[in-house]
Amino acid sequence: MPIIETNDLTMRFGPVTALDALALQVEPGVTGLVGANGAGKSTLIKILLGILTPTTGAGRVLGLDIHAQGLQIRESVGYMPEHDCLPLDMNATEFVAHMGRISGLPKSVARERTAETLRHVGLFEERYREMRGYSTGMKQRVKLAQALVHDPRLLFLDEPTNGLDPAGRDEMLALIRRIGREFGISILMSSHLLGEIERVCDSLVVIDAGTLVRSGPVANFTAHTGILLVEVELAEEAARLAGALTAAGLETRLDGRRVHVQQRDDRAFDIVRDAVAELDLPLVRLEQSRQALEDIFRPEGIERVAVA
Amino acid sequence: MSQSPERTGAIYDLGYRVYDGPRLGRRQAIESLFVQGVRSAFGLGRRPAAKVAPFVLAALALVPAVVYLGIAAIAPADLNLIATYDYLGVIFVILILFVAAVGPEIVGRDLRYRTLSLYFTRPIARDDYAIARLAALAAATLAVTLAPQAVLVIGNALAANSAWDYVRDEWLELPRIIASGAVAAAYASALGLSISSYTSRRSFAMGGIVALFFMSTAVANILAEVAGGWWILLDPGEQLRAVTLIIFNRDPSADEALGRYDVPLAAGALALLAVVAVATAIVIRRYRKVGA
Repeated sequence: MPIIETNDLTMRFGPVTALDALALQVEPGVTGLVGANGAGKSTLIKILLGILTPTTGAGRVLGLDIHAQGLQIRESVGYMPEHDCLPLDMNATEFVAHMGRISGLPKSVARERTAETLRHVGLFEERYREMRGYSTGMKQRVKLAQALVHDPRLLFLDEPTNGLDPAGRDEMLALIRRIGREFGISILMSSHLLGEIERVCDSLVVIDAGTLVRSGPVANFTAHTGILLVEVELAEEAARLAGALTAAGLETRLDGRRVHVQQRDDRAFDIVRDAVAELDLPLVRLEQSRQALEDIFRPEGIERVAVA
Repeated sequence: MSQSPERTGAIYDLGYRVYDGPRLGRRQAIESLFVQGVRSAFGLGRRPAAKVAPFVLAALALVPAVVYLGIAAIAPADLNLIATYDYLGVIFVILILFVAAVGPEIVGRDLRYRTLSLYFTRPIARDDYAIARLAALAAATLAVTLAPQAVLVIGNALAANSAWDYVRDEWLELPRIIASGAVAAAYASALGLSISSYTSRRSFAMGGIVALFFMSTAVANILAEVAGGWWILLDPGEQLRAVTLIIFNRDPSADEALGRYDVPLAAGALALLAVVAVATAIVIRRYRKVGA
């Protein structure tokens, strides 16, 4: 059963159409919501959470109707907004426990889970200090902790790595992956950075100008447009390899010492392996082209999507 | 992010625990918002500077009661300096200042820090938030409207020849004191929040609340003089005075405004009810509309 479903979802702000008859389905797991700034990512998340009412259209989150069952939905989801949202004059422990209680946890449970959650996100002795003094990375962790404290079934993370330095970003992404894989919590994570999505997500929803461009498992995206890069030592060897691969039924393109192989399915790996072994060539590199995921955006205008 | 990887790893080994116990839902959420609101009104759980204004104002409201008890201790027995039904009038300015100082603490912080988006994505309705915060401000304001009266009652009881006799003679006063204090707290809170819910800037909210009370007082008194006595009902202090007199079942004296203009007390009570209703509606409407 899909955890998120929308049907003909339209949101207009005056003359601006943020979502345009958006129809999508998201399966359990870690899903990336990708699109340029202004594509409608935050608007979609806010509608699913019930803090924005769509102009028209319907949606279901965890099987519950976004119009009629907002309270039940919000009991089982967590939300980490893109913007600042922490009361800086409180300390993290008191704040996260408070948010846990608002989400319905009994007092003692809220206290226990606050301690555990802050530990999971990597906040230690500083959790009793006023949040005013926290670094951006620590604030992001508290924002994540308050979304997680009540053990939600689904997390909405809006640009969770915003403002973080590269090390902080790596830690945040590792944490998100852990929450998805080990904690077993489904995640819808928006980002305008493709590299992040590729590292963390199982599947992908691409929206642009409020409409669905594509969605599906991340693997599909690379498989469909994927190019397999095979590098050998000499150009002459590469030419022989390309010939063999073409003969085996693959589309190839020769590029110096490299052969670009159109990878339609996993069989391509076997054919390349067999051909390299048969010709007894020194294989230098075999990899899926890093361009793959980004290629999806070319028709939609890649200049509007930053690449990390 | 300075913790070492080994340490992180060790702690991660505790693993994640699923919660499948009860979720207490909306009622507890409203309760938590209320309690946390009262706490932040007095700056509890926050830095000492946040405690100064509320505690100083609450202490100031006690001053007349303490002074009275001091005089009563040395003066002839039957001297009656402040009657219980006059106390709210004596501390009215402090009541306004308290609401102006504390209202922005309760709701302005949520706007300033944008915490509203976290509240509104939890299992509460927007109206729940408005009601819980309103109730929190009113409860905190009881510190100004009821605490001094409690000091007076206790002080008088101890000073009386027999505390037991005092309580027996005066016990009918207690529900009246509580009722009038509660009305005053609810009234000032509704008016205070109708302004402070609109701005994240503490200074704007405080200025707005103080201006609202003193401007309406000034306008009411001028209009009452030039256009007719009924205009005095615009004066927040007189609205509250009218209700207090009704609660204590007394008539206004001839030298106070309500007596001088000869306005029925019931009209003052109606004016107060109307103000509370409109102010509450403004607060609720604000939180239905505000973006989160």
